[in-house]
Amino acid sequence: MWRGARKRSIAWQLSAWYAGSAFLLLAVGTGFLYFVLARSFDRENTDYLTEKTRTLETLLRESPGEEATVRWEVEGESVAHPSIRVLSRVLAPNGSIRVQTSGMPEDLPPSVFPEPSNLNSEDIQTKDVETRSRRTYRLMAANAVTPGAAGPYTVQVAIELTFEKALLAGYRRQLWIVLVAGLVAAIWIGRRIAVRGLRPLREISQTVRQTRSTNLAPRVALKNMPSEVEELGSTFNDMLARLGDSFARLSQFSSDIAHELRTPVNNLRGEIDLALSRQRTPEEYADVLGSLSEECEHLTRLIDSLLFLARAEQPAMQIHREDLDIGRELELVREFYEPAAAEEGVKLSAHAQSGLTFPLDRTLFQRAVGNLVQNGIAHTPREGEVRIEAHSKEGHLVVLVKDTGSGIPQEHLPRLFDRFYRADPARARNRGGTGLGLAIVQSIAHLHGGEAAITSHDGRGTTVTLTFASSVANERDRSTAGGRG
Amino acid sequence: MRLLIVEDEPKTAAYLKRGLSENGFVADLAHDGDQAIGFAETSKYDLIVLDIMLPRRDGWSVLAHLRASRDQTPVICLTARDAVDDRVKGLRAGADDYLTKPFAFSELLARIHTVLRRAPQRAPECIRIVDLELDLAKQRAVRGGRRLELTPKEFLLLSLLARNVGNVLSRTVIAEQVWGMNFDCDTNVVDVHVRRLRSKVDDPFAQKLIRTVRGVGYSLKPEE
Repeated sequence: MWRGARKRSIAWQLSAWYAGSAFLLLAVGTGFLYFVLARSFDRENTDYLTEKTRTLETLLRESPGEEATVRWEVEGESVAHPSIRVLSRVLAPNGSIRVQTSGMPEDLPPSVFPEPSNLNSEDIQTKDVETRSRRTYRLMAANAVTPGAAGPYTVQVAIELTFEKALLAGYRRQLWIVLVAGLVAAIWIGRRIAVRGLRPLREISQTVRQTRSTNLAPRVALKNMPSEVEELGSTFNDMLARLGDSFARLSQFSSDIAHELRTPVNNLRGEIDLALSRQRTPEEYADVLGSLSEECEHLTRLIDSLLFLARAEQPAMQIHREDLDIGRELELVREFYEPAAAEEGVKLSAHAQSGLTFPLDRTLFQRAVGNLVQNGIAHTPREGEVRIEAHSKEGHLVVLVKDTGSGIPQEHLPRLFDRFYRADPARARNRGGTGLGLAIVQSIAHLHGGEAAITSHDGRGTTVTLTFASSVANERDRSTAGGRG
Repeated sequence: MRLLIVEDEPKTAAYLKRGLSENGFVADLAHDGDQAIGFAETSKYDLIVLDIMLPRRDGWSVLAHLRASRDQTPVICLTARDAVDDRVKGLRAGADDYLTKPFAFSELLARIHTVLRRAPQRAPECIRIVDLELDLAKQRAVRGGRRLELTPKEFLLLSLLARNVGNVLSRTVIAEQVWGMNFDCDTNVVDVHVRRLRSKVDDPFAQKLIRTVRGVGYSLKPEE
């Protein structure tokens, strides 16, 4: 039960709020009107009662002897205002009834009236009673001091409230009906509003439901979407686009792997079949085996690289940072590749900001820089130059590998870090590359909380920039602070 | 030298045994973890080549059992998994070295030699192969009475080959041992280094010492 309460829908909550507030407004409004009405009845009755009492008191005080006038005043009321049931009685000083309205009921004896009040004071006592015959009256009394009499006369006036009470009761009943009907209407309208307001969300969720890994084509129709939901819809569409892109790359990747494996395996089979097809000299066998071994080496490298990339994508992948003297590391790399560069007629140099140290995974750093240098040498013609530069910038290590090669056409740049992407397929494959070098470089930068970027100018060479953060957490802080994704 | 090979895959086991025998080792073969422990307890081995993924009792457990019973026989682990954590785990469990499949046989051989040499015997100060003399302390190489002008790295490369005379060293091992490049770089770069070394060590002389073993690597071996 509580589970259901916790999981209630937005539509449910919205309609509950709409209904609740509409009902509350209605209740307050009708309640107020009822209160005003009841109060004005109440005032009017008391005023009338006071007025009547005052008239009789004045009459008795000023002309106590005029029996006819008093009687008329007492009796005549119902004649003048038949709708208002006002009953009066005058008690003589000895307590006996001097005169009273005819029809003064038995169940309103003098004793039920309140003590006489001073009509000039603020505090005039009234008393509401319900008689045995189920009629309601408001009672008031006052003394009229008559000169020469043994004591004061007492004036007792009652006004009947029975009909007004019935009227108010009827009014209250109607209010309840209005309130209940209002509540039902508020719930229904609230529900309609909520459902209507949430319809764009339902449309989005419908699109989501249709989305499959095999079908990433559906898009949320943004036309006629309210602005608040439009952002969600367009974010969702963006996500679909990115997913579609990733899926396309993944399936491309799988078919690329199959292709990359097929070539060396095909070579292996072909060479083996050929070698076994007839008797050969030991030298020929040795030659074939050597060639097979080379193919296997290529396969091993490919498998290693694929495993590396797969591992690098796992969030649990740990790197082992140590403080590296960047100048020394770059010099090591330079020393390793220098003869290869010299053989290609390319000048290789390393320039690191002096005294630069940075916490990095040594093997990974070497691998990244080595890969780039190797690429640089491969794509730079004779008399060219490959420069490795390193400096620190805003707490980050920036490593640039620049070559003076032929450059890479702009259209290839965005995809160069993709696995197996080759700007010039024939050339790269001949060199025995796996097509994973730059993908590995990028994943190494990512593992260090950094980035890899590439710029190229036709005919003037290519520059790859690697940024390394001193810790992944640092980089995360920076990117949230800077609002980068 | 007596080795124990623990490997369940018959083809791998067979070529390891043949290869090691051809390289002058006496090798026994265990096909699972329990058998391996039985062998290790009854005979004394100089080194154990231990596959990690074994039926019934895996390599970690065998290694733990050996070390718990104070058996300090050097162990080289073989595994198809190559997560860095596995490497750390293996070395912490008392393995002396670690190789991931697929590996080149020459590399296993090189590592076996390294591990065995790590034992007490000190590297000699001088190595003499035919008319090549290496003074490891002074970093000097002389051939046929003539001093060879080598860079420090070239000397390191030559002495690595000389210390493993007769054994083939893979390009990966060479890159790792001489330049500290612990990754599988484009090993053609090593070829260039060897070519340079050859031009100084072999080119001026009639007898060639440095040999290329195609598809495997390089070795320093006088002609028979």
